[in-house]
Amino acid sequence: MAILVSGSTEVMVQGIITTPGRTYTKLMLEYGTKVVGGVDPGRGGEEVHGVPLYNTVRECQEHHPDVKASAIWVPAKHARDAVMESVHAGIRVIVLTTQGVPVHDILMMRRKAWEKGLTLLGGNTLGVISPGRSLLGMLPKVAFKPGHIGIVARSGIMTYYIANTLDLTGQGVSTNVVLGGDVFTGCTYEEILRKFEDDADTHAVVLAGQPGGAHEENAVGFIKNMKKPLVAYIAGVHFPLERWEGPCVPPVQYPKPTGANKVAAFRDAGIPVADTLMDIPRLLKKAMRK
Amino acid sequence: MRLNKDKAAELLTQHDIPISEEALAEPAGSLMVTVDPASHKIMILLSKRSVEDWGELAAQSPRDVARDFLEPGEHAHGHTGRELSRRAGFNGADQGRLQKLVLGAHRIFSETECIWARLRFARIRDALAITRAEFELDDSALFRHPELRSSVEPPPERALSERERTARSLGIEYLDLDGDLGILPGGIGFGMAAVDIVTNTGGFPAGVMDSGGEATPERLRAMMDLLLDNPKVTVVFCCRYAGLTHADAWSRLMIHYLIEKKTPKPVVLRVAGNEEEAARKLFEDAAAANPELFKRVWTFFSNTPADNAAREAVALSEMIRKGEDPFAESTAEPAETKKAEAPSPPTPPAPSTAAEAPRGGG
Repeated sequence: MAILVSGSTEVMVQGIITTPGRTYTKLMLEYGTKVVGGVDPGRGGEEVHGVPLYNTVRECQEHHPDVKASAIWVPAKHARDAVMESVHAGIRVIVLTTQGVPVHDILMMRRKAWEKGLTLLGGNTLGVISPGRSLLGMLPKVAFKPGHIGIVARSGIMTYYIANTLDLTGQGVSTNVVLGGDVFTGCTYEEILRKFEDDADTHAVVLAGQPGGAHEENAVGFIKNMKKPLVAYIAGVHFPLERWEGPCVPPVQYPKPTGANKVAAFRDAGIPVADTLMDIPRLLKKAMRK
Repeated sequence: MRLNKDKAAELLTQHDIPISEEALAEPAGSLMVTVDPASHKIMILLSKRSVEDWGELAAQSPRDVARDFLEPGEHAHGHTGRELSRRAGFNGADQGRLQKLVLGAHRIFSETECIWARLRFARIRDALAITRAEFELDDSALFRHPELRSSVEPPPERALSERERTARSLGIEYLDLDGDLGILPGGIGFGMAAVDIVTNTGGFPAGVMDSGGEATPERLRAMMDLLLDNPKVTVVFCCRYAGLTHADAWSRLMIHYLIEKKTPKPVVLRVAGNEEEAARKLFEDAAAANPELFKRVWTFFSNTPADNAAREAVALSEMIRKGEDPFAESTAEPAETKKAEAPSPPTPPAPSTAAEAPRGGG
């Protein structure tokens, strides 16, 4: 089964004529993703890598009524328009890879997507991959082998290392989801964990977090009541966040959103937290035995 | 980017909010408008106190802070300010004055797309006037506000070390730390994890940076020089997961750099991802051609957990810290890449482990 994307998911690409749009459309096609259409205003009728282009999302839907997901590569100033076009068309999974999306835009997009029950990953996300089935975004196929562990993280690159660590102990991934590295994102851990909880193909979950924002703290309440085993890994416990983070972080969180405080929040709730990468498979094994 | 004082005053005046520079004005309270990281809603906070840390005050003295939430894009109304000020303990007359202040601050916050707006106000005769106003803008949204570009000033910066200043001038986000093990981690997402791994295995990070993305010879040289030219650094640990790039291309640049630099300091590399086998071959060939140099270079690939590679780097730094020569027991064998290692739970390296560490050179 997997979550968000499977082998049968029909996908469109918005911003397909941009350089990254072309590059990653090719990678997605090579991976086996069913990319059925590209959307770029004024370019309808053309093709990119054999994929037909349409002028609007609705036009793409008219030709491919089963299209359920969109990957977006557009400049930040066009991100809101592109996402809202997909939201209005009811596209169920939207992957916004764009970096530097204005905060007020992402807040509005998130709210609209949530109201319609859609999943918006990003901005600044590498996307989602169900290994061996489908890829939506920029995650490298080399990092992910099929299996039964769900991964959800804010940082894309952390998921490479987690999947690699699982692979070394003979475990693969059902679906790997990257929320996006920004403090404000279109989707929460909880939204993804709910899907993993309902997915027969996912036997356990790894949640990777990092300092900044409140994503991890917000998920604690849900995780405590999850039926499936979950192991958390919070990077940056020894990282001096106060010397790194920019001013775009609202100075209103208490305790401060450091890695150490996030680990404490999880451990206080009885959620197993791995201290190192190699702790993850060990704790997973232990949690799955229970 | 922060709005400069003049522009902040201009915007407040446009919204009919009185401003005062009277130094002896009696402080009357604080107001903040921001995005709540927890709910992703717009949060307005009001207090009768002069607040420095809103989070701490709200947690430790919640009765001193009144707060309200608005959906993104939603307008504040008169009652928003009146009700907030009532709950914050202001009297009836002040509630009317604060209504205007709250509405104005929220409007400026929304119109200029701030991340946060922080204001202090004081009692000036029968009025409440702003005595301090800070508006932190969203850099990413400035394309919609060209009129503000000439009215911003950079936020107060933390003091940078000389090395951090050099890094910044080269466009590298770098952080000096107090230890002896330099870290080149790829993106900062894994950089944070790398600092933890090194620390958890008994090491002391000396510096870390955001070294992700496509590498160029110049950028790689600048980043490695930052670490290797630091006299405190005794060992460098590099992790490269070529997900969107190619490990062989990065390895070629690294090998070229190492041959050119001829550093006497040990370098521990872990390379994984696309074209990993080609990268392995490049390191084997380079070590065969430069056996003396590559005795000081340890290479690991995806069949070795990143934790274990870090542990080797930590063991080397520990030996050097103890005054031991990490190369004393080293054989002059040409580079032999590590075979697959059985993962083991992380433990701080025991002295015996440290003594064995350098054997797998290259």
